Amino acid sequence: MATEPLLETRGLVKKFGGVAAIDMLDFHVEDGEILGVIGPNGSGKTTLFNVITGFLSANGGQVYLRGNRITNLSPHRIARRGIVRTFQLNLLFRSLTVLENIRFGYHLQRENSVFGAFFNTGPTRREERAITEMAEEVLVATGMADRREQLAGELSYGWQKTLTLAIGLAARPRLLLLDEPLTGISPTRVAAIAGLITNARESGTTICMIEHNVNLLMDLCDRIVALNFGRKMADGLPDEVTRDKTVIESYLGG
Amino acid sequence: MTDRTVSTGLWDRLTWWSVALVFLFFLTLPLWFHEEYYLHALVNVFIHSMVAIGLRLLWRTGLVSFGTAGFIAIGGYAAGLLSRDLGISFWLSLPLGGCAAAVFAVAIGIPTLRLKSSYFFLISWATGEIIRLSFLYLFIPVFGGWQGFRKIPPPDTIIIPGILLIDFSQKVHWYYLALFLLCVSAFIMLRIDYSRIGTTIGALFDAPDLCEAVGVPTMAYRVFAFATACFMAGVAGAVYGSFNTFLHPESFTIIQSIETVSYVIIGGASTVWGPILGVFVVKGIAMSVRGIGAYEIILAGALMILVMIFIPEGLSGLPRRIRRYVTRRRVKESMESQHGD
Ligand SMILES: Nc1ncnc2c1ncn2[C@@H]1O[C@H](COP(=O)(O)OP(=O)(O)OP(=O)(O)O)[C@@H](O)[C@H]1O
Ligand SMILES: [Mg+2]
Repeated sequence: MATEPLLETRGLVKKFGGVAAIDMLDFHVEDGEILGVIGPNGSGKTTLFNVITGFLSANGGQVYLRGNRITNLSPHRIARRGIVRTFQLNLLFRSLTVLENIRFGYHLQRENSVFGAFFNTGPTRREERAITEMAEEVLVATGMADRREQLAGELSYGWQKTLTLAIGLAARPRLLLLDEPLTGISPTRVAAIAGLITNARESGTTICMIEHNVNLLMDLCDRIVALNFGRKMADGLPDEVTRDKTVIESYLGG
Repeated sequence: MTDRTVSTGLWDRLTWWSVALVFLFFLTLPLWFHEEYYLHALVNVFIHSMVAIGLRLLWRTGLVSFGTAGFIAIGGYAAGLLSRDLGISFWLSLPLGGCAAAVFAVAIGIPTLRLKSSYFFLISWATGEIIRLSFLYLFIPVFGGWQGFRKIPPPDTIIIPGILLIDFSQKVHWYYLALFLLCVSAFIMLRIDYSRIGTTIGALFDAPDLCEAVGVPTMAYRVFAFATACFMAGVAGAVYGSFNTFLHPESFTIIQSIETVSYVIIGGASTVWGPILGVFVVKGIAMSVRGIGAYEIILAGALMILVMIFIPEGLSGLPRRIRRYVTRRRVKESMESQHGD
């Protein structure tokens, strides 16, 4: 029996007013890999993430997580099953501090009920304290320790990007979908962020990331999928995909 | 950075001290102040405060209901029916009235709370009006129609022989009942605020999609907030009905709902105390300026607009705003002096 992929889409279709942004897409993510997704602007990369995570409903086809159908479940149900995503446009809790934002990443790891939270029971307090401690570790790891009390809305674009990643890392999902995690990050910090992504993979999180910087993906990824007009243009090892003729023509600008 | 946390702590302590003082003032007020008219008015202020802090919870999720009066009516009529026609004790009818409103809120909320906030606003408005008209035109032998719902019994007497006799024959007893219920409601709201439930509700307003992405069932939180708001409105309605021994659908028009929203906006939604302040300001002005009574809603509306323009975070946010302004100035000055070196 062949091992089934962690995530798989079969014949996935997403249309916007008759135009297919995702067009009969068969796509998969292997357990434990770092997968890069590339493609020209408007090729459907973000839409793919939105459909996988239930933020947009598919017009056709299915999404499977370890062989179980998760098509069109509500986003929090999909998150509960282990897929967490970040947003391209730095969606954050803007009026909360950096630390509070990261603490939200731990939502799924809470074991105490809302009743415990309401009555502020001993176990709840211990859990909240433990979450704060774990969040502090993520703060240090992502280099935001000295920004912990700053409001997310007041951070620079690059640090907001880092914060979205930090929330995703805190969630420790089975599969983390990152929508352009390196865009706007200052060049001196790019290596550190790439390090965080590799570390997450080492600790058991499979990564699928959209990114325009192909040179970075070459070093980081095990495999790259190139999309164009919502269809797969290429799929393979980074070297293969970046040497692919159609990819060079339509995207890399050969 | 540290300065910010320290002064926030001081700020919290100041708020708590003033709340404690105000509470002590109202706790002891009837001991030296006996004017029935004002005690009566304060009972109404406390009842409205309960409704307002309930509505604040929904407001914090980013939604606003213009149907609150309908839910007050449901609580009032339900509790009235239970105690008058079924002979159930007021002390049981009271929470049951709240539950009736909450159950109705869940039924309305599940299909509508996922809609855009502007649609929810319209639907809540329609709901409130439909409830009012139902009490006006349906089951007239039971609800009384235009005659109103009459002869709601007072709460059963509480007697601890030799120590305590509360028979609700005096305004003072009602005063303490309403104050007690307001305190319980405020306590519940504070517990919610200071737990992760409150944090999540605040986050829901900021970025519902991000909430979902990290696994928060946002619909459940919205329904919870709406049901809780309506529960409090229902309980308030139950007290209101028994207090007046009488309910009339025309007391629960859209005007009443708008006024409740105005309390939240005028007082501010960032703390539990804000909406209570809002009630005191509106009712206070309406009572102290002679002849304005009939124009209360105009006053509330005008204040609401002024506050929205000049202090969007509400009156309770005013001191904090001033403080932030002062700190900003100070930080700027110190930075300028540093650069000057
Ligand atoms: N919510 C939406 N409503 C209508 N059209 C949409 C919506 N989201 C995306 N589209 C369209 O679908 C197509 C794919 O968009 P998508 O955002 O997935 O591209 P992308 O590959 O992420 O591009 P980029 O690299 O610019 O982020 C585009 O033509 C876009 O205009
Ligand atoms: Mg995109």
